[in-house]
Amino acid sequence: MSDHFSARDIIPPIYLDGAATTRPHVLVVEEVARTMSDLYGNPSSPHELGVAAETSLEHARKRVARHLGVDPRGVYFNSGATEGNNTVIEGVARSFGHRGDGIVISGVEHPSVYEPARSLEREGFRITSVKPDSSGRLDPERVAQCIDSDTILVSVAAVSGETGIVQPLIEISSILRGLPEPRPIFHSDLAQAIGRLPLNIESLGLDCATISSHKIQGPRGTGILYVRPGLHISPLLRGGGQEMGLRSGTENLPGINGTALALDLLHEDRDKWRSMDFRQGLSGMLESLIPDTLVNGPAGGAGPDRAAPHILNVSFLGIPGEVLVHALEDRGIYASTGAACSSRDRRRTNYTLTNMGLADDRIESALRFSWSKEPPPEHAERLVEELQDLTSSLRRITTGH
Amino acid sequence: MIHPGEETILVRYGEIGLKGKNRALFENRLMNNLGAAAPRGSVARIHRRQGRLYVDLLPDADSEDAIAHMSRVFGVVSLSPALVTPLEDAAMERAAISAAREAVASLETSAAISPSFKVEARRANKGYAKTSPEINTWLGGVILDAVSGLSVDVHEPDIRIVVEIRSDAAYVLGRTIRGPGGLPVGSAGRGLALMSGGIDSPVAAWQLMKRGLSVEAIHFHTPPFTGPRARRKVEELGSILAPWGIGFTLHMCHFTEAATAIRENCPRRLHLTIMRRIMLRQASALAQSRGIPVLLTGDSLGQVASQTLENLVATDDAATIPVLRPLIGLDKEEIMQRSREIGSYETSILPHEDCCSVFVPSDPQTTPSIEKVRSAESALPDFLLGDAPPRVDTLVFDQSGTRTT
Repeated sequence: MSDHFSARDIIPPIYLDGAATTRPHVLVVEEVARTMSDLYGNPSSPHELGVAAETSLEHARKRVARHLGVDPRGVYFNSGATEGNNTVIEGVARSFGHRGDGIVISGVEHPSVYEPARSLEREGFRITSVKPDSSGRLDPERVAQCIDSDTILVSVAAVSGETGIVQPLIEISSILRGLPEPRPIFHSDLAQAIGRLPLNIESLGLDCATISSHKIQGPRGTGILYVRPGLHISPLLRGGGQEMGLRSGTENLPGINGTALALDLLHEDRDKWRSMDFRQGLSGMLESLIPDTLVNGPAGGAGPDRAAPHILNVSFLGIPGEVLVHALEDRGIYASTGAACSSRDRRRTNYTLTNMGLADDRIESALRFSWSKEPPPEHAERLVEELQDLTSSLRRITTGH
Repeated sequence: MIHPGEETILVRYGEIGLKGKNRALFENRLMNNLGAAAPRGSVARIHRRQGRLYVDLLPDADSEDAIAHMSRVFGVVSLSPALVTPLEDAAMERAAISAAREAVASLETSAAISPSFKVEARRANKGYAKTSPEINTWLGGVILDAVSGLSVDVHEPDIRIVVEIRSDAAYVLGRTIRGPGGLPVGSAGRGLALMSGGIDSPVAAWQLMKRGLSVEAIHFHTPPFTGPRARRKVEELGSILAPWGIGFTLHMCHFTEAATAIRENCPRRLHLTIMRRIMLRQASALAQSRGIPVLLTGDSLGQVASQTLENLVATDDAATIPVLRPLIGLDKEEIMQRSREIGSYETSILPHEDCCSVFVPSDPQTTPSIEKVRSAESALPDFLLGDAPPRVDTLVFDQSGTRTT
């Protein structure tokens, strides 16, 4: 087709968009296929094929519960974090709207949190979005100030998918625990946090938590919603009453078994999922070798209490982020400009960075590098080499020097 | 010859009839285009008879599908499916009833409440026993009995059931489907369209396809300043135009070097004008290398800064062959409406930009003088000012819109 010869023809690609999605683990792919072929019965069916499927489903629920450190009765399988976040926000509003009308979210949430919240706002709920500091982190005191006696839900993502900032969930949790009963329901979107932080859902006092399997090398279209046993929220989907009535629809057993296996594999390899070295090394090289480079969100050297290990957001001033993404892909390196689900829509791309109060030129030139398990250090070296070359040649064009 | 019991489609065409001795050429082009547009394996043969074309379908063909495809062929004024029956009373009665039912089903809802009809017999076979008025009365009565809710109106009927008596068979027609009109693609020669990813340029190409031009397109892209989605969008537009153009050829031209050179060497406010001059120059060279005599663009006078009269004059100055601008006098709203009818609108409004803001000044010169532009342009490297055709990737779509190369 083209005689234009590009790097991706000869060198294996480097995938640095793990916060958008990860490549499923080869054993997960096998597990999904095996479940599809062998356990095709409907877990609700009365015959032995149904019983076999149900047994496998409940086994998966126990494995998942063990990894999350929660009671299996609180584990609900669904289609992923978007569904989980919608279920929690809409469900809490419907079930506890009589108690109050206040919902508090952070200003750096994923659209699957703030869009349902906006929709409730049109129905008359009060939505308070807590502004973060310039690194994207919430001040627990500010959260406390936003909560009043009519607050029924507080929703704060443990890790921002755009910058990797880690929120002070422990502090927020202890503020909530100090409130008189009935306390607001405490929810956290763990989509970017699962496997990355040593977090314990129960000791954090979370009432609800949401997880997507595809962020941890599991299958697409599968996820986990945790709801503390004893807490009842109104379902989004009604029907056959599966998942204890909270999520009707025939269970996606292949996806569920794939999820359980992805968590097993994550646990075996947890050091590599949690290592801060790649982030720190990459950030150090970028800042020292490429002029006019700014890290957005937690600094490269930030510890695990402030930064997730797998996301680094950087602005190369003067170059539109999208241009650099295309230039990098031409050299076989895949990065992103923001949350992948909304990168195509300019108005929404930089919700998080805008709420952090960053300047426009910094937002326009922002790139997000992210990964699943820690990549080898050579990947950082090759990325930095390509970026040195590309930033200087592109800046000659875009800024004239 | 088609056999009784099979189906043929009568195709009426308009302006072709006016073209004097070129008429056969036009008719042949239309027959070719109809054959190409019809689904594979649906057409037995296409023939001409008394100023009409007949498309005989194969026994297993899906006639609705064939009609849907052929009703988008330029040059077609209207189409009517015809049942071919033996010259036997029972068979002709069945055909008349079925044609009437189909015609009722296809009526607009306003007329469908109590539609009127008439039968029009045409007796080409003078040996046939019944006269035309006898046939009208006989089959009119049959239809009236069999299809409820119909009434007869011989002056302004909603439905005309035409019965043509030939030597070997009767042709019974009830329903008429409008075609797009115009002239068959290819009958007016060839043109090369400059195609962005926007709303206007696909409409410009369509508009001249309708006047018989066989249109190819050139698209200028500037990776990495434009991305793979912008490229995909232009490919999709090519695929949407392909059924109208009886296939479509799209040339993708890598323009980053040119855009960069303009940015580095020319005054900022003239970037847009000069960029468009280089595009016209490269398109002229490509067209000439392919034996194409004209260019076409989607310009509409005054719509944006680059479409002021002065800018159009200053850009045309760089073209070495004539530039047709079929949308020059249309409002944006009219162009958008046409784009929706063609089916390109939804793709055109996708947000992937085909030209990066890096290369477009925020305050482009709207009244440049040709002399100034020429002199500013002379600072560019020779390869942008010469007449060598640019290097392109060429994509070909067949008439179904499928990419073949």
